[in-house]
Amino acid sequence: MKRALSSCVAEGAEGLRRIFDQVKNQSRCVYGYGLSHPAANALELCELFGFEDLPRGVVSNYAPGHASLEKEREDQTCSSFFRHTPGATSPKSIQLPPRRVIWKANRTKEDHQKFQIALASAEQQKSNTLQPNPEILPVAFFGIRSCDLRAMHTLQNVFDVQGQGVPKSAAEMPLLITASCVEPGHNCFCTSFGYGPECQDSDLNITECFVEEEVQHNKGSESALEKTKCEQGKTARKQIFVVDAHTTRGRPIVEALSKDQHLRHASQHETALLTATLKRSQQRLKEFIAARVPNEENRSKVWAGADIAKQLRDQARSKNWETIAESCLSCGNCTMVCPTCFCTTVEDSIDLEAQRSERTQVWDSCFTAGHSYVHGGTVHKSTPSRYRQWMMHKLSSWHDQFGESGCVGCGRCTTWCPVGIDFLASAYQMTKGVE
Amino acid sequence: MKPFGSSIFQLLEKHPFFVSLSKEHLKILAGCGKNLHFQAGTFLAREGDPAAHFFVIRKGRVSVEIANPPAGTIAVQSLDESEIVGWSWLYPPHVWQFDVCATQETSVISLDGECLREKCEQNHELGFQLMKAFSRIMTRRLAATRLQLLQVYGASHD
Amino acid sequence: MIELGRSAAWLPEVCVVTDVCRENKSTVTLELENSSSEPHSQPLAGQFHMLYAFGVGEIPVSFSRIESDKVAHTVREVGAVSKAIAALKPGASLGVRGPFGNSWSVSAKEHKHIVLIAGGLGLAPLRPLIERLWQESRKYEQILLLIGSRDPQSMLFTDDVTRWRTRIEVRRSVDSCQFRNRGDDWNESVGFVHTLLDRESELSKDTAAFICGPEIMMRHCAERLVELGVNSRQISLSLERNMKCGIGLCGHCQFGPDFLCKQGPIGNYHNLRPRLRIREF
Repeated sequence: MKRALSSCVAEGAEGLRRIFDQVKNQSRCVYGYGLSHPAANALELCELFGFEDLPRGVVSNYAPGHASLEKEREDQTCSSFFRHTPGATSPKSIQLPPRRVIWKANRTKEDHQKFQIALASAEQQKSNTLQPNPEILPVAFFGIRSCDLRAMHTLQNVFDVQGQGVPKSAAEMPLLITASCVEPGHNCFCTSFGYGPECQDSDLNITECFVEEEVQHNKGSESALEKTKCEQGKTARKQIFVVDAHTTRGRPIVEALSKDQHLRHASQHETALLTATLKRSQQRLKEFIAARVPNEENRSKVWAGADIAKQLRDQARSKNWETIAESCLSCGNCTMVCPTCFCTTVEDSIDLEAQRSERTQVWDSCFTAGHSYVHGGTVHKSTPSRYRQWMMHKLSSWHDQFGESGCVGCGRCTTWCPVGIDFLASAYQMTKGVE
Repeated sequence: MKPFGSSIFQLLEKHPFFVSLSKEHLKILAGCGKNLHFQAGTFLAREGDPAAHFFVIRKGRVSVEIANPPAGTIAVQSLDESEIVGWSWLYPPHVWQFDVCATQETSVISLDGECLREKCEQNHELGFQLMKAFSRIMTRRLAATRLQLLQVYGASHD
Repeated sequence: MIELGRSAAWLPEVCVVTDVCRENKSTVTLELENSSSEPHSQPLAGQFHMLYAFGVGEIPVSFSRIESDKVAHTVREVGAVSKAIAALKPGASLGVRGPFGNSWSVSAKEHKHIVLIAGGLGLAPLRPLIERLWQESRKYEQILLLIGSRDPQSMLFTDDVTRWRTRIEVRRSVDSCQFRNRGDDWNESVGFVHTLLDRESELSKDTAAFICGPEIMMRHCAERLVELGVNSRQISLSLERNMKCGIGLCGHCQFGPDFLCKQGPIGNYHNLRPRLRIREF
């Protein structure tokens, strides 16, 4: 993996605050992972109004069918910012709002057989956040992960391929500030798609690292740097944020912060630390994946390219779907938390006087009976057939439809499956033994 | 009876139903055959009657039907030119299970089943070839009947 | 990079119903003005519109007639939306999006023999194609139209059939036929629609076939045609799944890799056969 030539370093929480503020200042609004309210025990993709909205000291604990958050430690000087993995919601909720009014219809007063239809306003559509804006200030995403970025591209590609993407100028594109996953989740498998845990396609990527240092008992000379250390026995932990700008939009942020001495070039030691941090993360991901895909050869073969598309297609009539979906409740959680699932349905509502009607587009799931309804009944009647639709769409049909995988390896579907069906393990089970 | 240009042998020889039969067999068959002509509305066979014949339709259309009092009559199948009518002659108890009525002016080759049954007993090769040919249309018609019963076009739309 | 879909594609155009014709107890044909002025947006035989009934919802309905100044849709009353649409009177508004989907493709240069098989309401999407073939019948050696229906009372477009018979061979069959006096309502065939092919021993190799009807019926008709020597790539079927948005974005009409609202509803049997053999697919 080639590294950017000159990584920069921001020290401590204060250093990260400078970066955040710089991004906030040049954006209409900033989205990132936060706690919906202080008592919430879940992370979600929400608007970050200030630096304090970042989930500091929050560590996520995810397993199949399990998601909980833990407080890292009381110490506020050195608590981590990015040791959690993404929450249930993803940038999808900004790209494709879960619910939006599309249009409204009104009966004509003079002739009740007649009506008119008009598009709902941008305000009513509640989707204006990503619409091209006359102020040109883009929205920004702060602290999202490489899988999020991959998912955003994947979802946008769906709209583009279907000829429904709205062209935007470069300045209107969202500013993408990503964070490396230094502590990958148990359900993650981004690296099996050949990317992660850091992000190299964003405007700016931040990797949070911790340096263990000997505490120097040198009272009376507490420098600013000293404040960013937290004592832990005889050693102290120093928190640094390694910053890599990848684009012409990321570089000015680095330049502005460097000018004010808030960023400096990484030392050799720090670059080595960065490499070690990412390597450790990669190693952990490898272990997590190996626990679910035991066969090393299959691990790379299955996920590297599009051959899984064919393998699954060949398994369409397999009995294994029934085994995998045996415990599936057909609840649709996996499709709701999936950052690329784009199925939507519409709801038509009408007022009591039957004069005004409006159409609302809402997220839908292929696990519902309505999804495959044609007059006379539902095509996908059984749960295994719905599970097959979901998995085959993600890993097989998506290649035919959009030229890439519909899965990004974020593991959300596994985490938020109420019965803990492991998507990666299931896919492996479907394809193992297939040449 | 209308005069026909070709002999029964020639007609049977050209017919796809008899394609696997040898010349010898066809001669036997032709020897048991005669041309018959039915006016529209007349019956080729009646439910419950001894099944002594089967027919090859040369022209016209027949209806395989069953009386369903008091509602009326149910037509279960129509058969057209070049199709085979009747297999009851080949299987015990050799009794027609349905009525067969000409719905148009219909010309057929009628083949004497009683005569053929005996010949089949004596000549198993002939019997096997005929059994094969009849099994083929029976399985096809059974499959078609199953589909016909499915109401694939939905409930009645009258 | 980021954007949700254009909203305009979801917006129906309000059209006026110019005529309503009841085909039978549960089937109605509505006529609309053909509003597409530009030639490239003219609807094609086999395509469909999304029809919106005020406050009730939207359903996909194929074109049962396409003329320069008007189009028609034939609707069977099966659900809330189709019932609301079937109840419309001339002069009423109807929301319309489309046309969507691909079309029946036929060329007299490639095919001299044409077989069309319609089952039930499946005759409606084939009608614009039949009309075209009827007009151009001289270019073809043989055009054979087979029509299957539940019973004689459900037979659609009987006046058209009489006219079509002047130039093309039409065979019709019903699954169910009960009568008091012979010939009262039916003197044509009885039996599943594909038995209308039983009198054929072989079909020409340059036959193009077009089938529209319930999936079971299309599968069995297509297999019968293959058995009679027709190339499976030359057999077109019109499939039905849950078409909702018409632009390949809502995900409901997926049939494996295809979004049937865009890559369909028409496909060739060679490609569709493996998928048609998978249950609940």
